[in-house]
Amino acid sequence: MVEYAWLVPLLPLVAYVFLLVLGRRAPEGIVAGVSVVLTFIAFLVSALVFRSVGQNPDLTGPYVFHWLTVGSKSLTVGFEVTHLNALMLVVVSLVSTLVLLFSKGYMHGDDRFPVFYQYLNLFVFSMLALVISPNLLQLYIFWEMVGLCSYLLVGFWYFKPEAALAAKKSFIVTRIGDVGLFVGIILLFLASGSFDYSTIFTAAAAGKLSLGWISGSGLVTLAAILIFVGAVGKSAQFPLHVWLPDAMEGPTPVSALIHAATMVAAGVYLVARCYPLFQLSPAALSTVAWIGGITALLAALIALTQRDIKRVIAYSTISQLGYMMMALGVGAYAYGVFHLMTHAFFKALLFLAAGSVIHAVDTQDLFEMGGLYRKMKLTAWTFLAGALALAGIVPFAGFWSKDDILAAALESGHTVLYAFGLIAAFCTAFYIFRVYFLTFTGEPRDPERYEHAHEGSWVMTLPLVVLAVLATIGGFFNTPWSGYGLERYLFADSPQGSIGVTTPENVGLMALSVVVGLLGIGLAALMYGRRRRIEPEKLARGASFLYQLSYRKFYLDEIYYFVVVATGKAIAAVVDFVDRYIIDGIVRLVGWVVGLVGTGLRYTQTGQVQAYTAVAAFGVLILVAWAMWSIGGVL
Amino acid sequence: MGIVFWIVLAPVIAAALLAVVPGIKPNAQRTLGLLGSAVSLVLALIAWGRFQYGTSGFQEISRVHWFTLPAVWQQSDLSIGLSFGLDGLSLPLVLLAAFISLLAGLAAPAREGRTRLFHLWLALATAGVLGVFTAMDLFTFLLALELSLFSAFFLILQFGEAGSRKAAFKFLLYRGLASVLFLAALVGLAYGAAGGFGTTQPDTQGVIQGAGTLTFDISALMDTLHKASEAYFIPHVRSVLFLVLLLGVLIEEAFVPFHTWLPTTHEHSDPATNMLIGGVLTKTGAYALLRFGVGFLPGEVRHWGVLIAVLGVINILYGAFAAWAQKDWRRLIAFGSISHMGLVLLGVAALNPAGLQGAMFMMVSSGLLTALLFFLTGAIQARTRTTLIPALGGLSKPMPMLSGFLLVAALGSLGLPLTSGFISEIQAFIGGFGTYPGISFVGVIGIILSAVYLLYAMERTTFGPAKQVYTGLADATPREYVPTVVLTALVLIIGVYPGVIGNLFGLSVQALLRIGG
Repeated sequence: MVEYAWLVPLLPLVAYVFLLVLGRRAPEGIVAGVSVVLTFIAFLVSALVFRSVGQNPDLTGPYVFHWLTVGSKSLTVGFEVTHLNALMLVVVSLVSTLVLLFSKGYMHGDDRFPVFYQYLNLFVFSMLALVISPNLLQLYIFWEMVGLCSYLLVGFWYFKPEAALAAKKSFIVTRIGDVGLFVGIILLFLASGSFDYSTIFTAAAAGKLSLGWISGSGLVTLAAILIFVGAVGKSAQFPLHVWLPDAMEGPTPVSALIHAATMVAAGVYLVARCYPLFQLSPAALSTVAWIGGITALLAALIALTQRDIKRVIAYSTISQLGYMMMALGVGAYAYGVFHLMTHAFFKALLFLAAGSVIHAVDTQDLFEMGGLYRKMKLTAWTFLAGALALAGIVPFAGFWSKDDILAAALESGHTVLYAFGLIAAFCTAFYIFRVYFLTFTGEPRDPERYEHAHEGSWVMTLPLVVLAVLATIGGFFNTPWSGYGLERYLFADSPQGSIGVTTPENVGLMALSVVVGLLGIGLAALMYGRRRRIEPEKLARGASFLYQLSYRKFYLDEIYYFVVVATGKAIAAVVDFVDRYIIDGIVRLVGWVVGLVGTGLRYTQTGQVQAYTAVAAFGVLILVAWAMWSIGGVL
Repeated sequence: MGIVFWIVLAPVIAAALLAVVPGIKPNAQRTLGLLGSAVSLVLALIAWGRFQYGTSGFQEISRVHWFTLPAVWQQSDLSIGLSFGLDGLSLPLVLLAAFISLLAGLAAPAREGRTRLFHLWLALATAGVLGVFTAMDLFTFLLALELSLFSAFFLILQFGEAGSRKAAFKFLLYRGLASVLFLAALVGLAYGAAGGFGTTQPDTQGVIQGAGTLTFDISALMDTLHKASEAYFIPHVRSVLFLVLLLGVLIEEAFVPFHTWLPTTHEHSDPATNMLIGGVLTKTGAYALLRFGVGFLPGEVRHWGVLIAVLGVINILYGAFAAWAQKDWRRLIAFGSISHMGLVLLGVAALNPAGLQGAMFMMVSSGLLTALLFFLTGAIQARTRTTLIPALGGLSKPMPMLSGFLLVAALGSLGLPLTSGFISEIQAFIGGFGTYPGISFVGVIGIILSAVYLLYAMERTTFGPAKQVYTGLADATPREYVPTVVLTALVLIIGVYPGVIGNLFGLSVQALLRIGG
């Protein structure tokens, strides 16, 4: 089955081409139907690939073809299947299918409905192709392609200025990270003569990576950190996280698929895929861990006070991606990947449920919602499942994976990071239940919007139910009761079992995590629940500085604007000035002087084309004559 | 006379017919002009089909002997004439030139009473650049360069907008100066290769091979100079000749600080002329650098490598920052092109297969993308009467297809994978990092900046609320689809399967490097 894995990305590509041919006037039913069916088949193929990988751990491949010759090196393209990417294929194709189905309801009636599906299919293709790439060059190609799709989809409502700005910002900020990745893979290519993962990792492990200007170990650290810079951009880690909240200007299904479950996880996937390289460099691993931990905490603190339902969930995504990075950084490879999987389910769920709410009330402001439980019971229940999973309450999916990460952080001696994670966990439980209470409980704050609210059709509720089930039970995949199935599956890749650490279950830590989560929920209930004891407004006024710090996102957007954007614009303005008035000024000065000298020749400028032609032709003749004369002189 | 001769001659014949046949209607004049480029393109495609991939030397050689100068230098004769041929370096550029000339002709609007003249100059300029890229001797090269120079001059002068007169003379003076420098450097090199500047040492057999034979033949010169360029030149003379050549390249190619003619020219020329200048004419300098700089004096390229690489990075960054500040799409494209060509300098300075191959890819890619951008902004200008970015906005609504293709062109220019731009960038940077990692680290900032200036411009052009004045404007017409689709397809084909042209110059690039030792 593994040799047919190329079918998985091919099917969405076929859907894309088909929709492109159908054009912009195609009926919604056909557009959505074709997309959902083909992507669902891709999911079935992925599932078969996943099973066959599990049954037969001796993988064949990669399957590659010659692409381009550079000097004596042959660059190849193709595909490979590993335990890691077999899992990714399943997760990506499953969430994609559900989101494509959901979009049928959400985007109904949009002028550019077929275009939306074109972009989504292109995205699904690119994302699957990224995962299945057998080398870093091909990964980079699709890494940029998913970025392009993100740009197109964030800016889908191009007539909204905020959407246009957000699309541009998302592309440029992630590109800063991409440049790191770009340089990283170039250096690895120069040092190893190949872009292939296996060649590079083998050479690195044997200490054979080196360039003239840097030591072998220095190169490994540099390359790993440059690759991580790419991951920081794509996975919205501090300090490049600022694009993701703005990307919420895109339609909500896009947020669910691209900006929660799949593309933003690509950075985590990249670090996981390059883990053999990171393991050789303690400095690089430590960087990953700290950036992850800081991001997890910072984003959770910001999420506490946001008013826009999608932005809260977006900061939550940043925070959770931080957990995954932290896991990889402290050596807990399997837990990072485990959390990637559970997060994909419960975060896609939260976004789609939020989308269902936004679709119903046509606002994203939490303070214009309220009491929607009575109108949208299914959405409320499924959102609750997602919220419990995110808050890390036993036995929902997020509990198992998050708890594993925290335990691994403590176990590996990163006490500070453990504390960061625990504080962030408290915040997480608080902010997501703040959303829950503000949205679904209490009295409607905007009766008019409340009046119109209603549950969507089955295309919107079915994905919610499926994801809610996964968010509830998805964690059992890696528990004692499943024999730690995921760890065993992932570790089959490395016979020595050297790829990361695992920790034994620690009931004490588990209990602590759950208590912290419950405390967060309790505080949210006290502030926003039916029997409120604490007035949020008073608290905000009381701790005004802290509140503003969180609400204004630690002023990072403003700082970046003044430090980076304004500086760049200033340099551009200076360059433009130098160009127009200094360089061209000198040119004009020279021209003026020459002109002065040539005043006497002014009469030769007759303005007649024929005259110019004659002069030019004459010039050529003189040139020829001069050439001949200088050579031997027949004239 | 072989096929390459006809590739160059076909537009000349078309131009001659345009000049002498009286009483033909504007449409027929246009057709005649297009026919010339079309024949060139078909013949170039045939030559591509027959191309022998196994060799690195010139193929399809056509020589027309004109006259012989007897005993001009130490009793040997010098043959003067036209000689054309193709190798892996020239064929991709010949194809590029033939494609873009034809599409520029298609893009040109009908002009009241002046169609004949426009197509005449366009055909001559086309013949000129085709001649530059196929020339097998220095005489042919210089002659063709002059032809392209004054033909393009008249295109700018007579068919541009207000202010085109100044732009045309700026163009003529700058590029004329570049031609003079080329002439001096190349004739000097031929003279030196014949031993004219004296020699420092004989070869191992004690014989000074080749000395005394004066030739303009490029392959012969490559042979002579690479065998023992150490022996045939007093080092300072060689360096001076190289620097003269390099200065010519910098001016010809509009490199900072000799670049101001390019934005001015583009700002005042019509879209079809801009396609030709931006797409083809701004590649002749880089071609000369590869052909004569690396081909004749690789030792000098290596010696001055740091200078060339630093110049390259300065151009990448200067062009990108300047592009960011522009309000006019045409000036933005001009500076973007300068930024791209800076990467060519970095790739050449690297003197390794990836760098040179990246430089070749970049020349083709930048040509296609610049032409596409000029065509599309020209099509938008025809509707909105402006190319000023602040005056545009929300164009996706009235013209979704033009806006979509403009986005593709912008994405190609910023080096998105699966477009030709990416292939060029990554190879040039592989080359750059291989030889000058520190300088290249600075250069990659250009990758971020290109996204910045292009996406800023896109955000203000096609995104945003639809403007009242632009409602109801028509989208692309069938005639406009031809250049748009052809150029976009070429950009994507090279991006998806770069071997389609990469296979052409792979061996030639290696041959250049063997010379470099």
